[in-house]
Amino acid sequence: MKSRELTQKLKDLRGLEAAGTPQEGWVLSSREVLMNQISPKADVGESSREFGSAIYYFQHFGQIFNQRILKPVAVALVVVFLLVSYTATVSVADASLPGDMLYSVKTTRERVKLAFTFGEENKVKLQMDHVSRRVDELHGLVAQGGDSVDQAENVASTAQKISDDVKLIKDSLNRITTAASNGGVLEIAKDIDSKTLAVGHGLAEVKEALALTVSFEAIDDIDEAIGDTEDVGTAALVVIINKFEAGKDITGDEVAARVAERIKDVEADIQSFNDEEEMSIGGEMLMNIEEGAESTVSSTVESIDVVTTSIVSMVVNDSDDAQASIEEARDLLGQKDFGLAIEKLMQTNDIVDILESESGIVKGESGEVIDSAVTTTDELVEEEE
Amino acid sequence: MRNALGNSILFLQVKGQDQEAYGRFYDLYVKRIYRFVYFKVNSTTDAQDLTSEVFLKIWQYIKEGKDIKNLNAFTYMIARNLVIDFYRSKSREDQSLENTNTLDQVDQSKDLLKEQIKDSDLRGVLSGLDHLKDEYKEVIILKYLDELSTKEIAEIVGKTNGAVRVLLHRAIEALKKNIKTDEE
Repeated sequence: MKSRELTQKLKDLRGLEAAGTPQEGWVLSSREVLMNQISPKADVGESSREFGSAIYYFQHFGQIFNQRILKPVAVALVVVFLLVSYTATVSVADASLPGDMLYSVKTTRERVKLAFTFGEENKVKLQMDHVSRRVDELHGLVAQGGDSVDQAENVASTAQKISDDVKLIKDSLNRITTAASNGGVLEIAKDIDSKTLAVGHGLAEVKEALALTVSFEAIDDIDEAIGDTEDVGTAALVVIINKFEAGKDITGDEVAARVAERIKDVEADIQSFNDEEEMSIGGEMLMNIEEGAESTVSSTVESIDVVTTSIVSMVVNDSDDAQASIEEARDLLGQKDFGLAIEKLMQTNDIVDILESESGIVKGESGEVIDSAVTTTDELVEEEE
Repeated sequence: MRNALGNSILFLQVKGQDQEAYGRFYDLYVKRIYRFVYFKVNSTTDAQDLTSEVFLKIWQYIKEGKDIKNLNAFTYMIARNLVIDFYRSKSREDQSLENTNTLDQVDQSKDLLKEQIKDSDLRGVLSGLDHLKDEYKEVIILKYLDELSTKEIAEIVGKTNGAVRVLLHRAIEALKKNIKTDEE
């Protein structure tokens, strides 16, 4: 017997005495007994009966209203509230800066988005966007001002984050380049090259704006971030040049323009060292010394000169070397020898790195010597009085 | 739809301790509850006593003001519990009196009723049903004779909806097997 027939037969059992249908006589007598048992003492239902069955209809529709209208409306309201709260939190978090309460929400969202982004190329693009966001945050911190210790801490952590991220981007670029199917690598390299230039400029602006307000450590972190960004940018440019030399979809003019941009960038770095050298070593020291007693400072000036002269001469020499090296890079670019031009550019970057550290030493040393000179001068003035 | 509305109003009236409504509730449920009990106890007299007790007990619960969410499922649950109590006390009585004839008498009375069924298929289905495990018999009656939903059955037997679906499937397969065996 098939299931359908069987279920029909089961339904047909209803009404058969053998299938448990009670005798009518018993049904009636049992009802009578039951009604007698429940009716004499029962009086609670009286008040309800005064209103007839209308009250039950009212209750019934009340229940329906609760179940079908009130509950869905309540659920919908809760959902809307959660959505609005989420949207508000997210938009506030997106505008937050390092050190703000909702900043962790922003970075967590970024991490989640990155985790759900598939394909190395898409991940690199997203990571590069995140680096650009970090630079915007640094500008925000500059504009915000406030406590210099907190500001330095937030600047340092953001700069370190940029360094970490660009190193990851460089690793990804290497992986994409060495992968068997690396069709999209040229586009990625172009994107990294353009964006790292912008990031480098942004970081340089931030450094300039914060140079006199935050600690040397924070500035060092910005310097490191600039170096790491240039590093990944140069790596991307190398990929572009290799693709050009392999005859891929890029013109010589475009490559030349990109190399020229990098050269211009390094030239600006070298120029900024020359300006700094004049201002900090010459101008600042003399200004401080002039503030002391002129008659008694000659010996102190000598001591400053002894400490700094050797380093200053190194800076000057290296600065000249850097200038010569970048000029060579420009010549090679003129000859359309992009491979050698970028190699020379990298050498120049190395010299600029050395210049950076030497410049830091000069600033630190001369600062200490100036402090010492001013103290000594003050003591001598007091003695003379 | 009209029936559903009518039942819903009736349940509210019953919960409101309306005796007249309770009479109508009795009319609506007495045959189903009797059948449910009868299949479990296999005795007309016991089924009658237990069914009467079910309706009295429900009224007592209502009078005590207990919160009854689903009166339909609640009615079957009361019937089920009373049958369990019945078997417990019967087991004790049988042990003390060593009376083993009752079940034999019950089977004989039911066999007589079965013989009066002219449709051999129906007779086969009923015999197959009688030889099923109690839990299979229970879900088949609730589902196909009383037409309760899986959700309501789950509430009555204290299982999940999924477990009831599985139970129903196995019960139908077991019933088919019983019918086939009887035919052979």
